[in-house]
Amino acid sequence: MSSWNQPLSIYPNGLLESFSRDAVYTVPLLRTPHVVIREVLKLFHFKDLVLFSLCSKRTHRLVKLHNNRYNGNELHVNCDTVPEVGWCRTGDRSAYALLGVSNMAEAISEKKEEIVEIRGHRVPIGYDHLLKIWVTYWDDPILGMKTVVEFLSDALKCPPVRIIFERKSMWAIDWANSIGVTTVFSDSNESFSEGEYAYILQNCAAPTLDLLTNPVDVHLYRYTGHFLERDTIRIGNGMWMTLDNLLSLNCAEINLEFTRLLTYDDLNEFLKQWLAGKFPRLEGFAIGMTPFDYSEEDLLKGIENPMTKRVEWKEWKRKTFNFSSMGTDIKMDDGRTLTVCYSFKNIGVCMAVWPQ
Amino acid sequence: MTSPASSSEVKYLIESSEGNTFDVSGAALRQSNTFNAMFLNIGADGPIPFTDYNEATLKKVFEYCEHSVNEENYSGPKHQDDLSKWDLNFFNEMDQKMFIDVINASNFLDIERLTSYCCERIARMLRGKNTQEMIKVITLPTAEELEAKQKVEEKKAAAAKKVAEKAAETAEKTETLEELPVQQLVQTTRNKLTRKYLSFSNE
Repeated sequence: MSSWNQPLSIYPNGLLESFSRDAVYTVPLLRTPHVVIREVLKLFHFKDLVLFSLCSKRTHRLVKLHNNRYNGNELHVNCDTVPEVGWCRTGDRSAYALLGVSNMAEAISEKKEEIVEIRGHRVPIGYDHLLKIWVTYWDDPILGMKTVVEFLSDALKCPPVRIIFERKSMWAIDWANSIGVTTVFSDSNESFSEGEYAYILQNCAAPTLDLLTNPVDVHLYRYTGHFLERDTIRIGNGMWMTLDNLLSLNCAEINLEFTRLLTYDDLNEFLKQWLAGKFPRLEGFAIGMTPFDYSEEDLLKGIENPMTKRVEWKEWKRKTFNFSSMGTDIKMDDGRTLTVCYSFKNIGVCMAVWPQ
Repeated sequence: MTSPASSSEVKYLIESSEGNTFDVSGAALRQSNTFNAMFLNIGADGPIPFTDYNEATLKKVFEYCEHSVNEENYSGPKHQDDLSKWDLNFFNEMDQKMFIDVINASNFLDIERLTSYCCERIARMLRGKNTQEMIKVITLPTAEELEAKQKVEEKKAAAAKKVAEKAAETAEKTETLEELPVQQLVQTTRNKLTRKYLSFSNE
């Protein structure tokens, strides 16, 4: 028996001894038939594929060849406190971290890091045992993040679709615009300054903006600028939202939480305009109001469109909020039906248009 | 001694690259899709030539096939931990060269189960390793080695360039000499002879 392939020894019970990490067993993989290489790559987790593609230009090419078309996977880019790029299947919310990006100054000097080449940049890489991910270290972490995303997107044929950002990574807004990311998300504890918050609302062109981070002094904050046209906007703390803001949104779905300035009179005005066709793109609207005291009577006051009490349960295709069986169907001016109801799940008022 | 029978009793003769022949049961051989496509239905007169592979490799491959004849239907690659003691011994007995030969032969013969096990084994060698360890496992030259190699190649290229330049220079000189007009050549020779004569007379 030779030493090259003795990673396993068998215990009397037939179980195998696990691999020793330090042991080296060689097999000239690149000299085996392409079918074999393809099968081996198929058996890899994405994390292994990433490290394999970092071994050499040839292995990178092999990984690219293996993932030569879009395969239903996507990249989630975290520019938050722990900058990293994760991978996930489309529609699956749980992402697996593939590569981290950190400042060179944070490289653990006592441990000897390896050097890898990523799109022409030779950078150290080391395993972070705390985060349990491989981290690359860059003199310029912003360039590092952009390069790592390009590298992973190219090697694994996964487009970057979601970016999480915070105050320190405001640069990610313009970058997200330039690479066509579909969702921009922030749930950082550190509030944005007024200028930063306004910049996000005015410049983030992503189809979905999920803004759970507050502007500083959210009670006093007011926004008078315009809103970009997008598919979905979610404001986690909408204390600053006024009727003017609400009327100037141009989205297919609006989700506002903890609004304070909006009253039932405001909602009534908004609903009237919606029924009259002022928001042709709008399909769904959810609002959580504080203090909350649902009054259907106030909400529907003065609306003359034909309306009926709905008893059937309806499922909204976006599944952002559920409809209860108690609700009111209102005939819109364009012939469609708008349903208004109270949502226990969202603890607020929900409205949606049928058919969508 | 071959026939297109379906009975597992039938033996087929296999010829290796050394020209040696040996018996393999029909049941074992039928695990090879290549064999099924080429010989099963039409039969073969004389030994089946698998002459790209040596006897030891072919025997190893068909040893696996003979063993797995009685196993249940194949249902995709097993995890390494699910391999039996026999499977493990089978793999552990091979050296690196034999392993590669077996992979190549298994791939050519299209024996799905053996190829899958070999691939799983390679994947297992690489999973969870860092880039340096992976480079060692798949015997890739490291960045330093590549750099050193590149430097040597650059030096060689520079030396070759120098030699070529020198050769070109010499050729140019020769050409210049050849291109001198006859009268000038005569004059040069005369001058040389005169100098020689003078030095001779001075002595």
